[in-house]
Amino acid sequence: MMKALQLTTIILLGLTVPLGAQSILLKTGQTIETKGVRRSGDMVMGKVQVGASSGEVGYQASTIAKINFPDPPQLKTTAAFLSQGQPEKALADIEPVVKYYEPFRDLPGNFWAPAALLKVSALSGMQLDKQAEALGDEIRKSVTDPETARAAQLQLIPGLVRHEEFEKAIALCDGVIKESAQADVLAEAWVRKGDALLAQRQWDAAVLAYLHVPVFYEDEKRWMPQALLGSARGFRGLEDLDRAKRSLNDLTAEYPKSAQAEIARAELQKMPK
Amino acid sequence: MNRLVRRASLFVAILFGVGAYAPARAEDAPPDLGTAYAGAMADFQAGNYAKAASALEALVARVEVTPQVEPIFYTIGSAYFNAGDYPKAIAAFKNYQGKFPKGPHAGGAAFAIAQSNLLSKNFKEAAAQMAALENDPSLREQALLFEAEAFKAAGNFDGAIKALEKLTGGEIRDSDAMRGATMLAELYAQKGDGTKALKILETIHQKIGLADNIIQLNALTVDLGDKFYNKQQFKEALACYRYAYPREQIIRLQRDRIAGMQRRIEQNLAQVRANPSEITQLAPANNQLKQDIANAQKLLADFEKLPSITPAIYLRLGRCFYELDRKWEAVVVNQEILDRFKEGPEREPALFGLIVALADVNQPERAQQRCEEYLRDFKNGPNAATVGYLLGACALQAGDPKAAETFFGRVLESQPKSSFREQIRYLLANAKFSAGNYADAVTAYNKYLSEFPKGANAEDVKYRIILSALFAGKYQDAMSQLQAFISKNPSSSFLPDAKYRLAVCKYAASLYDEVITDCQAWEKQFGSNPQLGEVLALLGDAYAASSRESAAIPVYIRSYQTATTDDVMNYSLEAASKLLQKRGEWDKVGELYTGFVKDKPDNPTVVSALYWIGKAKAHEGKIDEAKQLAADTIKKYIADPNRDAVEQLITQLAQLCVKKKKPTDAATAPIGEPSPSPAAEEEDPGAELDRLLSSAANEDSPTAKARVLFAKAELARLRRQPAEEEKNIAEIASQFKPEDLSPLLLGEVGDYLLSQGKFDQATGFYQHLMDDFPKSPMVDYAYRGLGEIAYQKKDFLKALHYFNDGTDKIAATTKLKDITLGRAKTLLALGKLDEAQKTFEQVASVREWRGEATAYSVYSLGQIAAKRGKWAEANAYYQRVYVGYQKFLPWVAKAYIGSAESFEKLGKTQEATNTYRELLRNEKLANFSETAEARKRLEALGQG
Repeated sequence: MMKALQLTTIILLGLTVPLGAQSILLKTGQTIETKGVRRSGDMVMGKVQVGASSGEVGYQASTIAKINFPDPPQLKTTAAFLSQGQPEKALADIEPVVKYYEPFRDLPGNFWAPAALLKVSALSGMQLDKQAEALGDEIRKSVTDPETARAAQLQLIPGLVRHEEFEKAIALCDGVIKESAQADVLAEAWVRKGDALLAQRQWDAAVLAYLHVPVFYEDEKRWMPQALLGSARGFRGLEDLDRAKRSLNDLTAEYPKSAQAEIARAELQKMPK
Repeated sequence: MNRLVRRASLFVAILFGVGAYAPARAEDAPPDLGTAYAGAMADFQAGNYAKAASALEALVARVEVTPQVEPIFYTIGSAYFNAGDYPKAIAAFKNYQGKFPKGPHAGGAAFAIAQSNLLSKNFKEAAAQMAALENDPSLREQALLFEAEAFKAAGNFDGAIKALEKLTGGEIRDSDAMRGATMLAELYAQKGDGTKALKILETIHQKIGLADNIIQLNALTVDLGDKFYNKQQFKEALACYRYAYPREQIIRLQRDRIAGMQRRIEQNLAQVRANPSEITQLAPANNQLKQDIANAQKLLADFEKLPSITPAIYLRLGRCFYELDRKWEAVVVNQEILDRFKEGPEREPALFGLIVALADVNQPERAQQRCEEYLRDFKNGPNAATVGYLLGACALQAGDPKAAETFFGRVLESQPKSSFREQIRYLLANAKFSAGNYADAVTAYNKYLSEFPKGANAEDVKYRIILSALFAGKYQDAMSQLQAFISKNPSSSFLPDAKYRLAVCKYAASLYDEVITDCQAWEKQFGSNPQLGEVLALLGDAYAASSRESAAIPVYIRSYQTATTDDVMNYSLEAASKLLQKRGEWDKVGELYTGFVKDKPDNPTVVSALYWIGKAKAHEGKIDEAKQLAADTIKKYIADPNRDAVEQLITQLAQLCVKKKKPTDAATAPIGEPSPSPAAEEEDPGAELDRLLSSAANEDSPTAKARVLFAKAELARLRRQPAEEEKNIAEIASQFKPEDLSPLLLGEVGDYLLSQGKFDQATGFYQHLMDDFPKSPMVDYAYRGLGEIAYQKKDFLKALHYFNDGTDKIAATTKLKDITLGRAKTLLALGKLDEAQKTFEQVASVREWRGEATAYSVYSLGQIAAKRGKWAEANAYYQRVYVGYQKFLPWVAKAYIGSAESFEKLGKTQEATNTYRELLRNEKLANFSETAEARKRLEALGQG
């Protein structure tokens, strides 16, 4: 291992994503604390402090068990932009993160897949279906974690619904619902299924799909506003106006800053008194 | 107790020292002190605590009390404690305290005394003694925990809660605090303090890793939920059940815990390797960890053998949702149980819960399916009788009395001893009654009476038998039965209805005077009965039918004023208005509707009432007043898209603006004021409309702006300016979003876009109309429009769905002709010839629809006959078109071709040739594609 070690003194030029200390865990169990890493071919270069100056140490990617990156704060901020209905801002926020992790995609510990998933959501929110679909495909092909692959599959649903490919959309959701054990993925799958059913005016089935989120996954806050708004629309379709109002009121009270709350307020005003 | 065993064993090493100075003993003499101590401790280690205690007591009797023997005195107490002899343990520990008040085990002795008291059920002493130890930092948490236990055992819950609140006050840091927190949650629940219980439960779940036994904690969580549920604190119960982990999560947590303990063992071993002197401390710790791992593994193994706890938790969740009136959520949970857990005792209650919840959320079809499933899978289940009853009741709820009859009939046979039998018999008869099978209903009601002569519904049944005759149109029969009922049941709750129905029968028999007398008597007898509005409407009808209109009008007015339903109210209002109009009393029409607006200012009919007021004023020649009234009303509601009568007023206003003023209007100018010159009085209708509708208050409202454009379009329509009309509608289509528009505008814009072939845009407007205004009379536009778009896109099944819903579901009126025609042509496209024929015949037979729709239908009937190879029949239809509907050139052209083709098929070449030539002779058809086709055919026939 040490044979592969290179010591160079390169001044690192501005990273696009400011990151804190990162440690490289080698397959031998040894941990190397670094002040940042970058990819150079099949090597991972770790910035280390050497005396008074800093330098880079290179490690073969194949010898690395994991790189401990700190959680990128953009995962939260982008999700917040998405839940506020601001896909353009979300895209601008997450794009550098996706780019930064791109070279580390093959190494455990990287955040490319979750960041790329958010990018797909942003693209989909901007109705850039083809780009969203292409990135979704890329995620599915490159990730080893089945849950991430499932989450990537769900990104196809909005485009399918827009093109009225409802059966395909619902089959995809059902597949994820059957296989997944991850609450956030399941919550998203139910919301997407609700969307596909709502678009077909299958009000009762849509209501049942959306309500899976508040019933079983109420901690998945990102999906709650969409589920509440969707269920309200379903109830309205069923002409159960009281229940529709209740869902809209819950939405505005519990998620007042969400994009859906804004819509809910407008829909509440239009409801017969 | 383990703690005491372990502590005692540590003293062995010290007491080797004791043995060192003990005197040697002879053969018959007692053993030397060291040997005696070693023997006693061997017994202690072997668990022979009583023997160890006796031996140690004998030993201490032989030695001088010095600090060196202090541990023996403590061990004696420990041995008695471990032997379960608490009185002796207390005595021994007290002895220790007397001899070594400041000894190293003084705290332990005090704690052990308190523990012994607790185990001897001396709760008061135990609690007090534990409380005294709270200040000892090394014993604080245990002391508080045991203090709470003592209080709890003594029934002093407040004391226990106080101790536990001290224990868990900061945060849960160790397993003792976790145990305390768990007990605290239970106590809060017992006291009904849901908020505090849930708060502590939340804290527990944040520190779940500290729980010794997650399985037990989970069971406790569920148990807490049950306690809340039983106290009808459903919100709190729901929160508890939500904290309970499903099986998979428990297994994962328990495995994590075992892995964590394993890691601690490995860390300890690594520490020992680094510093071997720590072995004395870490070896017992590792032994304890191994013991804990073994226990945890056994718990896990046992848990894994048990059936999943998840459906039981879900079942509870479902019940809570149901009780909290979140019935859709109850449906979701119960359905989830059925979908995910194919076996298990929860299936039956889940299925039953699902049925009840579905019936409650008005999903009778789904409920029916689940009822069938229940009766198939749980034929003898505890809820089979209820489900049998619900099966029929749901069919009735779904408006399917025929199915209800079948289901009820089946249940009566398959469950002869059902506790719902009486109710089922009653509803079975009602189902027949609702289906209009009055003769069968009477038979069924009589069966009820023979089986349950004193049943809860017997009186109702008897009355319904009479109503069956009435509704079957047997007025004479009904009349005599009603008379008999009235005389036999003078205090029946059905008496007011019976007397009203009797009057109805008399009305049917044209006995108007009797009706009038009866209705007047009814009002005297039952003046405050909610049926008064209906009775007065009947009285009005009787007056009107006997040409006593002046008497009828005030009665109708009273009827609408007292009516309890909108149907009766609108009927009577309209009836009064019609009579007034017939008499030309437009001032009174105005008064009638003005009175209505005053009486019911919030009623949705107000806008149309204002329309009538305006119309009345116009009839009276008060055009300007009428305009102003219409304009003021429009401006009041113009920004509200839900007021769909605004467009009716706009049309009225446009009509008034377009009307030329009569010269007399000018002549009636007030004296002293100059008469307006003819030029000045002829204000441009468009400018006038703008002036009348301009309102600063509505400037920013897109709905108002769109309506002003609609007003201009209406004006253009009335002035026969189709280009201008279309321009305004096109502007609405391009400038406004669907959510800005009222139902009529959505429909008009949709139709405009459809006519322009902009299907996707049109769909948006139609869909919004359908979703946001499902009850509006204008919703017809959406069904017709969406059906037409689907038809144009050749999605015939979708088109049929919309057209069918248009006729069956919403009972269209505005667009009924188009929807029926759309349905007919879709059926034809789908090759459903019989149904298509029936529907085209229906269109062709409606006199009011006569016109292009008729030409289209007759032509299509020809096509249907042609498809069946019935060429003569087809020809007859085609000929009917070009003879009878010459105005509709596209159909005429097609009909000529169809007719000529029919002649060809019949081998009548000359007649075919003549027909093609006739088509060519018709100059109006010169530009139709059929003309070229006729030429081609003539050439092919050698006649070109």
